[in-house]
Amino acid sequence: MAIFDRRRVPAPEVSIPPIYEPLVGAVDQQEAGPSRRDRTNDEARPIFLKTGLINQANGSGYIESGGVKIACSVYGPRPKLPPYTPQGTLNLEVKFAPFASDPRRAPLRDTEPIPLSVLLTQSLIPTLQLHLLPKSSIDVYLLVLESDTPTNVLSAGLTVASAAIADAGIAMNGLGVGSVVASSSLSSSGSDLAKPSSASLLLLDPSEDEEKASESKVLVGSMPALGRITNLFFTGEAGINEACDMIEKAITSSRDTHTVLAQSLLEGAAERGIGAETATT
Amino acid sequence: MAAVASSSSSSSAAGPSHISDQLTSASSTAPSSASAEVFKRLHPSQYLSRFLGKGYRPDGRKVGGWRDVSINVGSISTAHGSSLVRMGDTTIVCGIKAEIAEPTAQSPNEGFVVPNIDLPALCSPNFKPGPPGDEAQTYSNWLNDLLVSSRTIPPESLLISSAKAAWVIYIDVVCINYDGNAFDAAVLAVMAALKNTRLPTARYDEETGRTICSRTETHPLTLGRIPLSCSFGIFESTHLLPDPTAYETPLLPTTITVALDSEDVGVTCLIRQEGLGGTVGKSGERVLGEAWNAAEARVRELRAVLDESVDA
Repeated sequence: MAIFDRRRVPAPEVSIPPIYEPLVGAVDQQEAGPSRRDRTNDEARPIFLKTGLINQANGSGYIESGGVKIACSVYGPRPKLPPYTPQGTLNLEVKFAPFASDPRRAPLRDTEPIPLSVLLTQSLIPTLQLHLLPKSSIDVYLLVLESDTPTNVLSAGLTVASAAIADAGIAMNGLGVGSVVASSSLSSSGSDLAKPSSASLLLLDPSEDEEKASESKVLVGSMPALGRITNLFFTGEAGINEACDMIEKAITSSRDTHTVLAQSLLEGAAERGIGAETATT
Repeated sequence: MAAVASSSSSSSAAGPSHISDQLTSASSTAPSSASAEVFKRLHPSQYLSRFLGKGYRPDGRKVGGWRDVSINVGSISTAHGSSLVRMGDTTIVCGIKAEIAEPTAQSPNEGFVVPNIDLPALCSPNFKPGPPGDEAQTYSNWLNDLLVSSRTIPPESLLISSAKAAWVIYIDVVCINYDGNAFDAAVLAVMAALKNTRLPTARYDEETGRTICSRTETHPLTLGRIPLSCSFGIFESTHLLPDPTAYETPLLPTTITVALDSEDVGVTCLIRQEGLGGTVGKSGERVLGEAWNAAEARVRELRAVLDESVDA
């Protein structure tokens, strides 16, 4: 039973995304193995991060990382509605633009944003000092403009949310950043690329195809400056040692992301003429 | 309440600096830039009228000036067509996705166009999270009316097979930064995204009843009229202000929107005046005429920016 949506321009009840004719020839290449062509296995895709683009908000950030584009704005700390809370409240909403993924996300039929919001809230809470903000709320809104996989959205979302909160001038314990590592078992064709000690291939910052082909993946949210993990989200099947390797690798890469994040915050502050002293020292 | 009354009465007697002095003396430690900020918040309409008295707007343009516009197309790879428009600080993203549906029984030879504008909580502190609010719903309807009445996408051109399959063009507009006049920016973004859109060539298979799209062949949309919209507000029945910002909008009881065909500015696609028309000493028709003339010049400008961005 479809819910009738009175708040949007009506669309036909049923519409299906275009079905393409079967691929000829290219199939063999895709299934040739998990080896990468454009970058090494330990190399993440470049990140573009900029703060302060949304001037209506207290703080904001925009990130492009791999196949993900997210805009994030932070309002607060602002007064919260009556039920008294001795601590501050973090309200976080992840919203997908309908065109942000393939196939289209029809409004009201999309169930994914809620669990993503919950996971992201969990990753962010350890970075904040909510006990200093009684009766207030911090509202963090993320708008996904383009996405490939939910894991990459979470990883980029955590990084951009930290950037936006820091841009809003809200005190934090540390900057949270996300990183993803996927593990693929080696098929016969890819064995020559593997490290001799491990039986599977660990790929940092996997693309959509790589993630689909992988056996397991881990998303690590961490505060590299403090050497602490804020969230660990592991799915799939892997040996204990392999899982540890994956986490290790994710943490190593999150240090690089942290550098990018810190740099963009300094640039953002310098552009608006605040904290120019810190940028020069 | 008493404080507001006393400061506004003194404002008519003395200059703005006097008010600032009064406000700073109330909070003696505040520097002068902070007192201007306080004045801006407490007396928005006086703040605006001081600027207009000197021939300028608070954001630095001339009273009759428009904000700079930039357009970027094709940056979103998950959409069939997309655009990003910045009009001053107002930033709008439009993405177009095409899907396939069965035409209705009433019009078996027509496809569907579904435009929607969303003003999410992200873009301004005045919007709440959740389903589209009143303003977003109003804009969506205006946009739908504009697209239907000017036949921007003729619905017959979306047909794949009569009574069997037709394209549904979902036009989704999302505001990222709301600094007023979102409707003009949204219309511009929609037109840029439509020009950027390429659909795969589709074929309806009678035997299987399925529509199959080509992976290699694409074609642009068949477009009719391309309307572009220009909005104005009337401040205190004295000033006609084009392209109002988020700060000015609540101070403008009358708004005028004129949309003209970008190919031939003599063709009007939409005129809307909400609120009392006319200014002191000028009739409603005369002010509307002024707005119309200003809109003609502006549409030519927007057209040039649009063509440049789509061709690039």
